[in-house]
Amino acid sequence: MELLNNFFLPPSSDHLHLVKYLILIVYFIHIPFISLLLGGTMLSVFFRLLAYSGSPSHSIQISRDIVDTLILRKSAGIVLGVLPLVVLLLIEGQIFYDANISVVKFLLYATVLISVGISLAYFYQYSYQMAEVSSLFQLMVGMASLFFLLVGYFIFSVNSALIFDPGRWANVNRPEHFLFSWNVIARFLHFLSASLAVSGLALVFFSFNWKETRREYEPAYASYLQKVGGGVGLGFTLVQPIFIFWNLITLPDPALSMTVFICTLLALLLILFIALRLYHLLVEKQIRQGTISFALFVVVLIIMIVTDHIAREAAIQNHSQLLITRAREIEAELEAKREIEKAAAVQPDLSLGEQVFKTQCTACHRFDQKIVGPPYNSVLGKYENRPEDLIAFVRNPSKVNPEYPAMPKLGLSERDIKSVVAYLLQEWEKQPK
Amino acid sequence: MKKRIAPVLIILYVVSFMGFIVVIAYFWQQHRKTPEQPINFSHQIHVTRVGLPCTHCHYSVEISPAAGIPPVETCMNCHQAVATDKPEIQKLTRYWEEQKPVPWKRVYKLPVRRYIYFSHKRHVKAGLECVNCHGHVEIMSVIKAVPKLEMGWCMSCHRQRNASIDCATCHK
Repeated sequence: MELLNNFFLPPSSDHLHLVKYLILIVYFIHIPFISLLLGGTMLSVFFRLLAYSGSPSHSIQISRDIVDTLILRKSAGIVLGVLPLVVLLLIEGQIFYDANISVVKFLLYATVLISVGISLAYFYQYSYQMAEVSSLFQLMVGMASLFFLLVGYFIFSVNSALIFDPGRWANVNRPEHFLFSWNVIARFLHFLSASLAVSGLALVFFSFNWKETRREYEPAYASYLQKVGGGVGLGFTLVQPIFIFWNLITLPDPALSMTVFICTLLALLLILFIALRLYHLLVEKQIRQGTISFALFVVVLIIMIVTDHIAREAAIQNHSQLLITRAREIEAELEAKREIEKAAAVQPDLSLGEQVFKTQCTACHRFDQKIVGPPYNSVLGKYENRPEDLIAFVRNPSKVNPEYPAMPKLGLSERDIKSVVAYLLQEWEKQPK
Repeated sequence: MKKRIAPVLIILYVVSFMGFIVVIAYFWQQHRKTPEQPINFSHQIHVTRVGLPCTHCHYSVEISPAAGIPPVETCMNCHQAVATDKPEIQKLTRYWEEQKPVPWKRVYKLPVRRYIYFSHKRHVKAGLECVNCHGHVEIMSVIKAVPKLEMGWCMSCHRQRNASIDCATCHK
């Protein structure tokens, strides 16, 4: 990944703050869309498989209705599916440009696989409109799409889990060792189950509740569709707590915070509401519960994305801080260089020198007595007629005498330094020898 | 009657998970790895701004198994004169006047001496930098344990650098 790293400049400090929010936006755009696409394809292929093996009569119709309802138009696939991943790739390339192990490499593989998976999912959707298509071919396309999507999102989970654990970046020299950690599996299963749950709920909502997409079905099929949508929704909503809990206990310690715990509790509370609503939908046939369940699940998705974001920010806090410090150092170095060039022409100003002396130097130094640093009378002699050396020392102090603590950098401007050195040497001349 | 049972089960199921999370949050709060220190000391100021090397305060790291927490005297070398107007330094000065050590809370905990033999000196001699195990302390305003000090973590580094992975190396 050395090659890839060469393309990225260290990001500036402002840039890093901006990027944090950009990641959040990317997730908001990508996750709901891809959940429907992945969940829809899984459900549809499942029913297509049932139809192929000759069971229930509604199977073929429902597998078609699912792809029609849940998979958005092709242009959405590029804008909401592939583009966010490419943006994420660029962002992570910037944030983790110096991580010993290439976090970004996983995302690159995932992006390629997911893009292929999305294209195949659209081809699968299109195959329902083709005049003559063999069932086997249709199934193969659906399954191939699922294969690429699932492998792609598994690798995506590896990337996410790795980002959360900066403590391991230095020591994982063979990335494949990281593939099967508990956190990776928790993330992957959580994502799969959430996408199935949201797909089931969306199926009910778009088929029965929303005016724009509502259609008239024959009663037997309508009841079947409700059962499938509500059942899948309820089943996978109920497994959410398991994976949420599993993910939480496998998060590395720095990622945890009270906010993360509270957000998780909030998500579980909403899940409880959704599950009860869905129970009414399934048992008491209250189809209007579809709207509220779907809307609440979207809120749960948003809470989970935000929680994940908060945890990630906490986990990589040190890393980001380091990048900001480095960026500032580079900025400061450039600034200092410019100043030195400018200062070559500047004449020392003795009154300014006196002011600097009184505010900065006197905390540690006197001419005739030892405070923190050595008395001037014992050290300034060697700089007589060599003000450049003293200027260089004040600009960048180093430890000279082991009996004294090291002198810190004072963060003075070139003009300040020149002036204070001139003042010091002039005062030293006046001291009784 | 049968109808009523399912919702109750659903409530019990989800609420029990919420209970688990509350318990975990409680224990996490009790045992968090970033304890509050008696003085709000910032490594960032001392390393990045002032430019002190780690060994300025942790001077025994190259010569002894323990890196050592500096005595109050080391702080007072400078702070008798520097930043004496700051409340945190005044706290420090109080410890100095009462001739008491600052009760720093330990951040890195290993069951050393009971189960594990660990020597800072040996690791420094082998060419490791402080940052390899302690993270970028120079940017931490509050010190945090960065890696989990687990055996697997030690092992992967030992393997990577061809250091001994014999049990008796650490478990004497």
